[in-house]
Amino acid sequence: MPGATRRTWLVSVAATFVLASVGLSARLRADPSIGSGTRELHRCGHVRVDPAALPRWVELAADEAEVEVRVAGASTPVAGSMAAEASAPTRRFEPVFPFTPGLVYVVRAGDCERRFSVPSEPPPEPVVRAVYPRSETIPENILRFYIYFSEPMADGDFLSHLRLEDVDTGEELTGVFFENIYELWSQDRRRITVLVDPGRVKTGLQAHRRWGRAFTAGHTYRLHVLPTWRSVRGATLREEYTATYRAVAEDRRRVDVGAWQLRPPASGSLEPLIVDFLEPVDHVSVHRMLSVVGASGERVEGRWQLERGERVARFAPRAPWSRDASEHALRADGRFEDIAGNNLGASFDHAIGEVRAEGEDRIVRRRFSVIRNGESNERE
Amino acid sequence: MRSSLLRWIGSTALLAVVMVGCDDPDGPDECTDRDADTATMDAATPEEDAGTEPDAGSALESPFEAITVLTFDAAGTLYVADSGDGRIHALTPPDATNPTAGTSYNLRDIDATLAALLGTTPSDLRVRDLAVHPTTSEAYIAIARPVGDALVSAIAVVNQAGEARLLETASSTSVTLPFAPADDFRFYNDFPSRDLSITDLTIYDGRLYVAGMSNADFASTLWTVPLPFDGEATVTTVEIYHGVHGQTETRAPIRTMTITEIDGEPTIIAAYTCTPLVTFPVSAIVDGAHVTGRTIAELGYGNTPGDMEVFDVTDMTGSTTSVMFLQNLNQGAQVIPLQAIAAADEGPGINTFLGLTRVDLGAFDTPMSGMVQLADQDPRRLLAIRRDAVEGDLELVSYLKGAYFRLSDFQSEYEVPDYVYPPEQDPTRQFQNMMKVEEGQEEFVVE
Repeated sequence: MPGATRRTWLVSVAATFVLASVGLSARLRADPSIGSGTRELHRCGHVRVDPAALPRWVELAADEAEVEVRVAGASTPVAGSMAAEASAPTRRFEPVFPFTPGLVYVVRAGDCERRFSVPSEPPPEPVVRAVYPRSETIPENILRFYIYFSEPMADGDFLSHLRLEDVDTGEELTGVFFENIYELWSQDRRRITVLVDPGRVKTGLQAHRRWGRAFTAGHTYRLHVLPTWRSVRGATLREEYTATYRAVAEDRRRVDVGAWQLRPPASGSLEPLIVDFLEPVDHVSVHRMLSVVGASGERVEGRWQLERGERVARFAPRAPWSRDASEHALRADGRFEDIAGNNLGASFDHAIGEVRAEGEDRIVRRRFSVIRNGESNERE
Repeated sequence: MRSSLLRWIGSTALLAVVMVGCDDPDGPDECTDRDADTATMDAATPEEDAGTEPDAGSALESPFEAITVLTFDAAGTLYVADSGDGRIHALTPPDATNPTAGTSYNLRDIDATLAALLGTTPSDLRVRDLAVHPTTSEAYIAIARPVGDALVSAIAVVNQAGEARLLETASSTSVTLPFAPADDFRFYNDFPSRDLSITDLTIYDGRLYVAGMSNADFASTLWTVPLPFDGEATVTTVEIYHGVHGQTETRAPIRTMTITEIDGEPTIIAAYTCTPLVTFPVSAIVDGAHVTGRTIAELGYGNTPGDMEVFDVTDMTGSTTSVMFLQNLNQGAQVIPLQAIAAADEGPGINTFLGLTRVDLGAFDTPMSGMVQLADQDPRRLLAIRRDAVEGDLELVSYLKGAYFRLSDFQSEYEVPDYVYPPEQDPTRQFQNMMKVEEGQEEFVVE
């Protein structure tokens, strides 16, 4: 190499080394994964992490025999299995639970550490879709509320995300809802059942005697669902949601299927069967405790829809009703409840001996016929 | 000159790449010998993250959806109640030895350990239940963490040394009891709703008793099935009622229960949702029966019971008493002698309102509060998962039966370094020394 070129080359190499070592020592000071103890940890060029298979597993390459994966800052390694790949020293670490997006993990091999993470996107903010009952009034002895969310929600301390106030007095009511370590979520975690403490609903108990019913007829109440509630993915409610109710007299009557008013559909049509329960009923009971069967007992497939106030429901069949006026039946399971928890067997709070026996009364039938053309459409 | 300048730039650049590397200096390394594009991969979309169904090829082969109860029988079989699919699993964990068996637990930050095991942080950890293996005295803890949109359960096994592992269900034998009555689904109309949370499992005299609470109706049922489950056993179903004052009654889900002999008769002591303590005889558990419990104690409003245990306690004079221990969610646990329960059970139960004072059968209020979970550890100890009031982390700690407190929780005059115990306080000093050793504080023993 000519002298001048060689000098230039040497200068550039030297300059690069100087710049790089300045940069490197700055990195060594800044990088928290490299300790400043008596032993310097090395830049672990030979420990490699291949994140291509995240979040299910991660491929590691390290010369050391002992390789561990941990959450950054933790002292217990992540539970999982380490398996050698075809081309050693590569191995695959598969955690029992997939790696959590957004969390930093550390691969430790001897003195070397290497970090990786799964990029996360901000999770969608959940909103409250509805609070049931959806009526404007509630009986004093209402038993439960339901809250529907747009996203699966996390559990833990659900009562801290609810606030109930008496709008007339401005006072916040406490001790109304049943505190339960087993939060009552639906399988998809989008619906929670909030029970009013049965000790206050029932007559004759100390809680009821001392503190009375939670709700007093004539008062107006507002339930606040607070934006501290988190989804399973960790996002809080976009905004607070409120539901307002006026309390009316208690309902301690057993649900009487015989008194329901049925408006049968026309034969051969897709019209709904309309059922007026004469009182607000538990909407989950409508979906789970009612069915419609045809003349030979076969189930009629269809969909229930409730009107606001949960007093009236419509059953729309999937296929047209039969063309003849064959006899159908609406079947109700004995556990069908109104919103005060009274069911077909008895009122929620009943005198001993008032409960109907098991057996036939477990299912109550209301027979109806679809209306042939030309016949009157009178209610049954 | 230009060519050498280019060479200068080229060699500098080459060296720069080698020395600086492909890492982002500020964040986690994603350095490999592949190019940067593969390092920014997407996490699974919500559609792909399959809720309770793990993708094929995932290591997540948890057979559990939503564990709510763990309980052991005397032979070491673990019963796991899964409220997600309404099944009870009977597992025989693989043999294990615990070199720290018979000693006490004093583990701070158990949530950090369990979360790290699951590859997550304590804020994402849920602790569902606690049970102690009858021979190894390892703590079995039902835990859950989010995976996508679901909370997925697992069982961790911890010993007194703080060593933790996940229970391998693959190497445990398992039998499943589909105990939920089939007719629950008769009216099911494509409406997605999980109906039941199993709230307690109790084993007594070769039968499993299951209490559950519905999230959709206030019916309450107790199920029972003989063990071992051979696939042919019939499930006995009874409806449970709570009677008040001999006049009215209400359906009443059971929160927690225990079965013990009272005056020679096997009796269920149950805490209901509406009021603390009722009893009814095991002999009333007949298929299809409608069983009303007798209220023997009303512990007052605001008392929300948690776990219930029955055990014998020997006091410092050497006399042994059988007691029922009732953990409460928001106040101290209560201890009631079984004899008081037996006496109350003989009577008609609470059927008048003679004042509004609580009827607590002489309950002793302990300072054990803030308990998240409780289990009977061994003849001398209870084991608790509790939340540290100041730091908020979870602890796995033992309590001595009879004492019901931990010395290290309190700061007292005795601990001032130059405190001198007068001779009459010798039993106190010895008792405190014993507690200090129990709680891993041997260095503070005063001879």
